[in-house]
Amino acid sequence: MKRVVPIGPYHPLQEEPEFFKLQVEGEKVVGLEINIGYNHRGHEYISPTLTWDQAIFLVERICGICSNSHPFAYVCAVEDLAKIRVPERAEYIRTIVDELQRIHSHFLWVGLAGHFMGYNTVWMWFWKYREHLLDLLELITGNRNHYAMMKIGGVRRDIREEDIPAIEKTLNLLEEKTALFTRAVLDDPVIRARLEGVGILTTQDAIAYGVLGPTARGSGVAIDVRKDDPIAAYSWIPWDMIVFDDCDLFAKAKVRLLECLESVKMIRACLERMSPGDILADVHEIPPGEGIGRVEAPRGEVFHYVRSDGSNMPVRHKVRAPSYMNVASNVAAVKGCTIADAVLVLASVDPCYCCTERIMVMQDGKQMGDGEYLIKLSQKTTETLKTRYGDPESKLRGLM
Amino acid sequence: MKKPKLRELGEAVRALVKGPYTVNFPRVPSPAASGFRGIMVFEEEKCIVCGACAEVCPAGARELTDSLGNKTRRITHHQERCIYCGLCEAHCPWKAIHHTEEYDLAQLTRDNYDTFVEKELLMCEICGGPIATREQLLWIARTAGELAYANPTLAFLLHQDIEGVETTLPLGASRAYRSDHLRLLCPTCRREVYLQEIWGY
Amino acid sequence: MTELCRQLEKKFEVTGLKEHTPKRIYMEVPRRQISDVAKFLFQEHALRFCIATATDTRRGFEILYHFGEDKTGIIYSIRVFVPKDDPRIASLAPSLPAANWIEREIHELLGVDFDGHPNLEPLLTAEDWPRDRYPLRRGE
Repeated sequence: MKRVVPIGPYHPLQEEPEFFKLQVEGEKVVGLEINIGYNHRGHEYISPTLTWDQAIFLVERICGICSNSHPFAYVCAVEDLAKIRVPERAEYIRTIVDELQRIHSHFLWVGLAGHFMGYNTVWMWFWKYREHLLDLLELITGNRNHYAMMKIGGVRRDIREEDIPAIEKTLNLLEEKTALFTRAVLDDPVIRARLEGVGILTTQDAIAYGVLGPTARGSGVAIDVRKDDPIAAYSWIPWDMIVFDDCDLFAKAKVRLLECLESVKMIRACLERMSPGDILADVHEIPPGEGIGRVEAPRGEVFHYVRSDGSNMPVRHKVRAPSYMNVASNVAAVKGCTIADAVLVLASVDPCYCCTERIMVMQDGKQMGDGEYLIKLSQKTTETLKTRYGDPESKLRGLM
Repeated sequence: MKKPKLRELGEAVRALVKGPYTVNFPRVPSPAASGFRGIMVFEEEKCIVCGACAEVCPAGARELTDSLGNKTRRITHHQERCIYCGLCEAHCPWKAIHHTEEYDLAQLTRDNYDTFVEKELLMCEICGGPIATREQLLWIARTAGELAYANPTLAFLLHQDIEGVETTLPLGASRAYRSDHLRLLCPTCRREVYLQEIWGY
Repeated sequence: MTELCRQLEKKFEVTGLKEHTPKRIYMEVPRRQISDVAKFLFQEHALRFCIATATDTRRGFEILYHFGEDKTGIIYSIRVFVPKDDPRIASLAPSLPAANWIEREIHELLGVDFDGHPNLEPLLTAEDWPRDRYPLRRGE
């Protein structure tokens, strides 16, 4: 008998509001209907009313987690339009801020995924070390999120020489802890049992839906804007793309965790190669034309298109966040999962829109469960698996 | 490779000893990093109420309003609309705006969020409309050097500043006439004054 | 001028071919050819569909389909004009699931009909938004 499980529009598992209607038969999901638009704020309508410099702050606030990727892609689009060359030091600083942002975003996701599997320790520990990262970003850019670093032709602030020891200290700490926790998470048999083989998004589906970022790289599609269309310093420093062929949730988790370690290496390489110089090119006017800028955000490729008619405001500004393509692919990924796993699958694309709240499970028009029903369902599955594999976390709790 | 349980055990002990990362703010102070983009302050002595910050603010937190009755121009800062981007600080030619490292905005009432700087506004002697603030026109006059004397408004302001010269000629007919050109005039009236005699209206 | 540009010029009625930078190529094709162009690029050359941008211009509704060639980093933007008195064009969604959502968005924000789209329902606007008002159209 088919029943519909609505998830959202406000849901504790998602960082942002979206409405998923799971069509369920017994315990298995057979279909998915997605309703979005709860966070539609009309950026493309507002952009042509702002000047080129003001639009940077508008797009920064599209997302709080990947708040550097959107301004970065926008200034790249304008620089592509006007063929502006950005000074070398500015490119290194842009890369450093972007990679720091990537680490903080992946830590956030791993923490949330841990929480909803029932591993609150994973959540707390990852978010604790994320705080060190946010403090570092506050030192470099002036704020924990919304860095206001990007400017057409360069960056707004320089990295001071006296801050570099603090950066290196935090990087060392992050590298040590990320390596520790990555092994802890990946070696845990219960987490493997929950994530392996679940939420398969085949390579063919991944290509058809045009998915991006870790969602694609976990399904064997080796695309990364930093390698394919490198901007800033990405082609000047050595780094590896992390790709896995397993197509399941475990692959996506592995991609994200290993990318954090890669990012630390990249930041160190940038600091080594940076030399003193200008951080801003001289930009006077934006000529008529069109430009495209794209950047690898933590969730995938962010695509910005701008068109200019020579005046001081853009005529058309198209923004495409990576979750636009990734969330649509949930339709293929969630089929065949149980409800308890479905919530993990829906969160595994790391949807970036906005957060919190209650959900309802209805059967025959009657409310079956209250707010925490689906989380408890997911956590119960983990408990069942723990009795099978043994539970490291309870041993830790017993010691504390 | 350490055994998994030992690995996490080390971390658990460290977490137990060090305690949580969060602090009990506001009982315990939590200073921001140096260079934090916090609450903006506006220096009244340096500000000339030109409105450059209002032009560049992306959030519309700076508002320029005139009070024609009081002959003042006011630039108001709407604190709750501010996004702390610092564009106003970057564009103010007189460096009258600064970020502080304060971030605690919580208040019990909504009223205290607005601050403003108000300066004297010079009015056109013919149409009565606003020209600009006295300080802004004085700055233009001083920066223009000898070219300021091409514009009687600026020349008069410079001399009022130095010698306290006032315009003494009575206003002629209600339309601007050439004899009115030695007055403090707005750009529109200044053009009328020169062109009316030749082109008529 | 890349090899792919030459092939496109040979197979389709391409006008206005412009290489703005080595990695950004723009060209215009007539409205009736867009399905074939998209099939050619996606199926025969394995280009990835990035997104479509739609603008209200004086010449009509301009839709730019952006295809990314990941091995070279080049973006091919295919421009199509749809006349305002007949705002319809063939949908790419049946053969290209990646285009499904953006066509729904262009339909609700600009009012262009996509023939053959499996469910051309509004995606982003609220349920009670009047369906005859198109936010991205210039006049409104």
